[in-house]
Amino acid sequence: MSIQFALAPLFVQVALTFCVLLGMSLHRRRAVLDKKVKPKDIALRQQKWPERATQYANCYLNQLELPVLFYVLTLLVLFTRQADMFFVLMSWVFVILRIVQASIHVTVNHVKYRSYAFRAGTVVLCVMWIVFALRIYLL
Amino acid sequence: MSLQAVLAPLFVQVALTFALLISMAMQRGKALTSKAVRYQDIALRQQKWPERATQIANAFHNQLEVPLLFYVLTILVLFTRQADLLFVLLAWVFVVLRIAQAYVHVTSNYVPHRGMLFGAGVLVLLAMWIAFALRIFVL
Repeated sequence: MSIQFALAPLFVQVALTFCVLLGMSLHRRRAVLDKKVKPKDIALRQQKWPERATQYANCYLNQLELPVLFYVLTLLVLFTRQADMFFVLMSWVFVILRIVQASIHVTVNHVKYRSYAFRAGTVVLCVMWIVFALRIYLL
Repeated sequence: MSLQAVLAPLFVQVALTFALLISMAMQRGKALTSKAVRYQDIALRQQKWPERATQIANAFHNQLEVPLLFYVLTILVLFTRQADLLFVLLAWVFVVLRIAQAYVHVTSNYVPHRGMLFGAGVLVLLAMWIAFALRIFVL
């Protein structure tokens, strides 16, 4: 697979992270301008932000958790020249599941549906790691 | 060192992360089905999970902190062809210390022991980074 194909899902995951970060900033800014929170209420990361800003912030933090293992895997797969159709397809499935999860997180925030998307994404990423390790040790 | 030898400790660290994540998901699932917590109690990341689920969640989140610097270092060491026996040995020491720390975290959760293991792991990783930087700039 070309580098473009292998990197496309990673670019989308990075774009998702920046979008959620932007959404968080806008909601937090509005909360401060509307005087719903005072700067000293939140200067030490206290959980005082309005619900909507908190949803965005949690979703943003989520993008800095499991996806890190996706970035590490993509770098290692590229370095070892193991990027094939299977890897790219699985990457797309993972990133689409992350987008679904994030969409639920910043809107209805229905924990059950959010966790379905999260768990499915985790299983996909776990399978990708197992397949990569098998290729390194068995092929 | 072969690619297989260099990547082995990294694979074990990733496996530890997934193991803690799965364990966390199971404990949280159990807390929700047994109605120990309700969805609305935790939908905004409130710290309302039972102690056991919180211990495992904290151990999981710990694996997304310092180990990131281990992943970045491993990738850089591979890329610059600096992976030697010393690097692989120290990488194993680091990962074994992380496993010991995670074990304490999800069992007795005795902070002084956890702290010592964490501190030892951080020192090992710091030594690895200093050795790598010296090789890049001095050798």
